[in-house]
Amino acid sequence: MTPAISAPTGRGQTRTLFAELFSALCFSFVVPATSAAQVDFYNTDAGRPLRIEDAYTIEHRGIEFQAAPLRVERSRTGAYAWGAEPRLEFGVLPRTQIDLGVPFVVTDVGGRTIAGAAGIDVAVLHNLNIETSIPALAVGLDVFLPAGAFGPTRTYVTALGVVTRSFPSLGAVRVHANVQYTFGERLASGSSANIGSAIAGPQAQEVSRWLAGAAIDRTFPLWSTLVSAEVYARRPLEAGRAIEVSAGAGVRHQLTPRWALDGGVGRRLTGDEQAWYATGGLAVAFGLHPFRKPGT
Amino acid sequence: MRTPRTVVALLTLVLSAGIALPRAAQAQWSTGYETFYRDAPYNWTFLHRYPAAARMFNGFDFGHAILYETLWTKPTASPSVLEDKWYHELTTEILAHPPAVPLQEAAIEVAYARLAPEAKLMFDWAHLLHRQIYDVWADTRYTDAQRDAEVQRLIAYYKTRKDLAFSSTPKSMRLMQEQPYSLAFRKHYPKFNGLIWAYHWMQVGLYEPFLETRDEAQRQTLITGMVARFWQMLKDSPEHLPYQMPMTAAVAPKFAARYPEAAIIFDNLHSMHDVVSDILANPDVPRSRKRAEILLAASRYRDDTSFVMTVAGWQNMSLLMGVENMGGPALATLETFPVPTVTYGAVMSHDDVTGAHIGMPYGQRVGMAHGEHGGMPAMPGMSTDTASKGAHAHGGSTDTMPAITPTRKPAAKPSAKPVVKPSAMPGMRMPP
Repeated sequence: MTPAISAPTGRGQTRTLFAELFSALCFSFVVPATSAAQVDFYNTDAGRPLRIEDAYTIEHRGIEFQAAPLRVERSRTGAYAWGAEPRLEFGVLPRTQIDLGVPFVVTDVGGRTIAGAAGIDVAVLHNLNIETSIPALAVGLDVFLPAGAFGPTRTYVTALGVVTRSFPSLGAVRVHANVQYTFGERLASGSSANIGSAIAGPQAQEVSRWLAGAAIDRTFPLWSTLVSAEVYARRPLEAGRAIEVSAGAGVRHQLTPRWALDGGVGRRLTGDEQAWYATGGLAVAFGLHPFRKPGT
Repeated sequence: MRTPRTVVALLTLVLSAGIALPRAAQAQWSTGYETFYRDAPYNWTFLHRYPAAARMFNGFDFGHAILYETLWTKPTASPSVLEDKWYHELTTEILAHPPAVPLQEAAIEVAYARLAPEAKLMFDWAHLLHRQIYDVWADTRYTDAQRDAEVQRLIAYYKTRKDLAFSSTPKSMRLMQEQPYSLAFRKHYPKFNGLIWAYHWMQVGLYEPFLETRDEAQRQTLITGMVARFWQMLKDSPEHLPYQMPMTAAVAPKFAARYPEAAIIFDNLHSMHDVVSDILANPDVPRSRKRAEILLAASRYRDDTSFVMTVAGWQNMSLLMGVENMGGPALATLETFPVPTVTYGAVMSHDDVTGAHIGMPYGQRVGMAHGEHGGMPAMPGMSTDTASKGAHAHGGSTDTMPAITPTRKPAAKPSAKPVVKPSAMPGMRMPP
């Protein structure tokens, strides 16, 4: 997998990232219309664009490659941190997806810019049911493995629960609630793992002791666009850090049947590292054997 | 201290709650899921090459979705909500400027998707098959033999979802239009019902240009002609809209002959669209029973045993129903409209083995003697009109709504308006 960030070069790095994002956007438009497909914009994933996701998984036998999920964060001190997390999701079983993400981070530390991987994330999400009078429910398990300069120092396992409920009386409005808990010992204050965890990659792979939050989204079906907002709280795993409350808003849009675009902004409202952040990303969906030759 | 009787009563209460609640929840516990379509190089070629036609299908999806959502969420609303407001919105805005990408119907039929997600998934899965067969035939890299093989693979892939796949065994029209809830939609909402049938006419008919010619320019011309015919149908609706559910074997005979299994699947799909509309539109089906009735119908459309016909019977029935009552053949000339031979929404009964016409429990024939319509020979065993003068004898109940009498003339001449204005339909008693 090609890292989205190749070298920490400060302002030059910023230009590189913008160039890559621009390239990815151009690529999405020049891909022939043979690409097209299901409606990915409606199936939200953590970090695309919000931290809170819905209870549905990718289609069985479907694959989604989140090609350019980027995130930039500006702290109170004016320091910028960049992250990207190429991610692959696969509908391995009915209502079950596995996904693999490798977050990369670029940040200013002590006056110098450094870059590196921030761990390896392997996750499984299982949707228990589709919504009827009973909300849609999902459970998940996330294993965050140590890897790279910004990765955690040990493996962390996170259990996740998701609820999605629609409110027809309000139109195409859904509300999602997520709760998660991470097992394992606290991080020592100021550890290298803490650097990565504080930055939060585009998939928001913060290592939190717990996280709880809710999101509301409104779909504009004729425009294949979803607008959403969230608020969530998390307790960082690092010892001595206060609970952080964050709020954000985002948009997802289906560009073609295969390609979806998302973007969002948010702010960490409380805690030790209050900051603004913005995310943007592209995802492409395809099925097994996408390169099958005609008649085979 | 509690007496033993009190303890037993409490235990009974707890056990009852413990049993009853899970059962109630079980009825609502749905574990359906989506499967990705068969990914291949031809995916979405139809949309790429023929965007005007392909995008209209996105508009059709909106029409289906808003129909179900309206019927389910506004059960007491005036028919004009669908017949006037949404019909106008669909035909002047949404179909005129259809979305470029497939729609997320769950965001349109939000409440309906919660009511019967299983049925929604069935429709979605069959619609994917629809689109993928267009793609196979729109892709010029294939030979006909490769296309045939690929369509068979698509059908096989479709059938892997036994919980979603419509049966490829023909179903009797009794399942669609002779159930206790049947006909409610076409009677209360003739214009919208005709619009849905026009959708289905185009959805099955659009295969014909691909099978008619391999010449790209001719295909474009034929497809453009079909789109034009669709718009013609909407003029003075429901006068020029189909009077019967379009049957694939009649509207798209080349396609049905080449891929009978797919044609049967699509007829079953379109039948069930009507069934869901009837269940939702019929006030005699209590709201608490809607989901159960939809799921029952869905299971019948999936199985290979209930309400089945022979393939030969299905083919014969399709022709005997009269293509002129279904909007006409897909590749018909645009200069004239077909002249229907039955009243709007008439119900024709057919023998399950031979497909022979054996009765007409609702509606009546007009304009021609039996056996003359569609150029078909007289059918053995066909009865005379059993519901003449528009009286609704179905189920033994009396229908207060007169049948709509077709007044079609060739398009070159001004046509008379329908006898009954859709929005002026009086309240009616539906069959028990």
